[in-house]
Amino acid sequence: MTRRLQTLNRVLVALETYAVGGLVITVSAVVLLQVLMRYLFAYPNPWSEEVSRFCFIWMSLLGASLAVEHRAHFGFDQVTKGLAPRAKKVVETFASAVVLIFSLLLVATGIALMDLTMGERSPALNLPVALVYAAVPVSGMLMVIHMLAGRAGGGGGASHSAAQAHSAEETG
Amino acid sequence: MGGLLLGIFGVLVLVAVPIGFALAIAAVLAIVVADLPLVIIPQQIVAGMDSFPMLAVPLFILAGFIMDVGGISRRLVTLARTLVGHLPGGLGQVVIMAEMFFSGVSGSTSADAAAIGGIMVPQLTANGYSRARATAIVSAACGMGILIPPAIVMVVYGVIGNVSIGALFVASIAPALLIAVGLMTQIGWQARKEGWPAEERASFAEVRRAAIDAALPLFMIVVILGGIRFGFFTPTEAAAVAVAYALLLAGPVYRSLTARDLWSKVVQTAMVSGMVLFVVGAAHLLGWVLAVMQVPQTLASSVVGMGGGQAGFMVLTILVFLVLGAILEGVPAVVLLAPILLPLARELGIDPVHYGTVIVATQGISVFLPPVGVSLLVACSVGGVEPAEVARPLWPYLALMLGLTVVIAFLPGVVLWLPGVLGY
Repeated sequence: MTRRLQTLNRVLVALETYAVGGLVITVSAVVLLQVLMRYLFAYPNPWSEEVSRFCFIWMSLLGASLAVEHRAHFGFDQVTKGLAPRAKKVVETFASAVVLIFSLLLVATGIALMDLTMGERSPALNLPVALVYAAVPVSGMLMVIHMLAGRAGGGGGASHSAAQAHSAEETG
Repeated sequence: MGGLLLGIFGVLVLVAVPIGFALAIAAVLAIVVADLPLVIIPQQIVAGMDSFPMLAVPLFILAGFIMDVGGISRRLVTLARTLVGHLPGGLGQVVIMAEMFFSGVSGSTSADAAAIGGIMVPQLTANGYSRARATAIVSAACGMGILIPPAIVMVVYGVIGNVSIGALFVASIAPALLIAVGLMTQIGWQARKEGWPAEERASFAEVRRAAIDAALPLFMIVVILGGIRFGFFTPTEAAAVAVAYALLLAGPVYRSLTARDLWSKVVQTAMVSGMVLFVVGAAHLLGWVLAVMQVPQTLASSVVGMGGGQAGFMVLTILVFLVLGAILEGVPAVVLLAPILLPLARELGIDPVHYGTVIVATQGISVFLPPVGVSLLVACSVGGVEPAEVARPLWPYLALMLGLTVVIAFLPGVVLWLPGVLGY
């Protein structure tokens, strides 16, 4: 069971990585195209803003679930770092549980919101708005799997603080 | 109830629940208690992310990453070295100057600390500076560099507060120069006292060669600021142009970017944006809940009731951002507090561009505040020292930066003249 979960997780992480990379490239290209079209062809592109915004939402939510896998989310571990090993374990389990619970909530409420907005369509592209909202439950589900696979792997404590330093490296 | 929510958020953060999740859970509890529909959760999170101006965040991050792996930081350091290396405390001065150049092409403080620290700490230690001193100088430089456009924090503040991002970029230039000159003066004074070495003065030919080598990277900031000011493109489009420009430089022009490096930076960009935007979305959700409960209004009347006017409010702002910026990181602190504090500032007659610049300047100090500032931890891992050791040499720099931030807070003219001249 654990093995299978971790294999599934690895496959999903690979797919997620390709997806977010592709989305970043798409967003950059579409915004650039918007500028080029305006100046080279005097043609204000009617769909580029909507496409880039929708891709951006997917990219952000999938980036957020990828950050759960890498334990990279902004966090403050200076207090828990100093705790005794046992207390630390308790606190870490609690923190993981909070992340897990909210991820499950994202799945459930995200699906409910898709259901609610099924008939609505976007103004420029005439796309179902639910396709954009679908990023929420997908991201939530990925977070759940990443959390469970991470716990099962037993990497909890050590990988967490290593990832905190990692996260700090990437941002400002 | 509002106080209770913030208390829950605080406890969750202290037990190392990631900040975005802590914000969201506090909001969920309030939604459940108030018996509001739960679909508000995904709806408000997406609403918080759904903004074309916010797209500038991943694009500026990507542009900075490409500039860094493209070997551009080294060119900028060389130029700084030929310009100020001969001053007292030469290499220390070079760090400040190099960071002024580098943060003009990068949008993120911790990335700066890694890039500039990675090049300069070995050089400083080889020339007799202690590791702690070297790391302290790099930290101070990067704390100043946050004020040099483009900066992610400014984009986020501009979007959330509905303030012109172009005006924010231009407004922070003079304060950045003020703090940079302050730090260079301080380092020069320390160098004379402690006998730190200076380098030989570079010949004019060397300066010229270094300037030519660095001209193309530095021209990017002209493209960004000029393009926004003269209406060629919006800040988001400017960021996409910056990505294309950085790709051209690092790819065909300098041939120093491999496809593999580029792909890893693209993925990293998505992850970092995911981290930032998840906090933005969660804060948007909590902000919505707080607004329904009329917390900002209550808070406003109690802050106004405290008296103190503009001056008191500025001091309060600096204190709050010093503490929360150290704990929460720059962007999350702004996302959480700007929607609450900015309306109050407006009511007190403080210019939102001036207010944002003071917040960003304060962030530059707080993210390096010992012992917990996130960017300080990055600088320490680059410098190979413990935060406790760096604290001693770092405090005087931070004290000077704080002093100058207070000056900026009380002299709006320092911030607002340049945007005024440029017609913002």
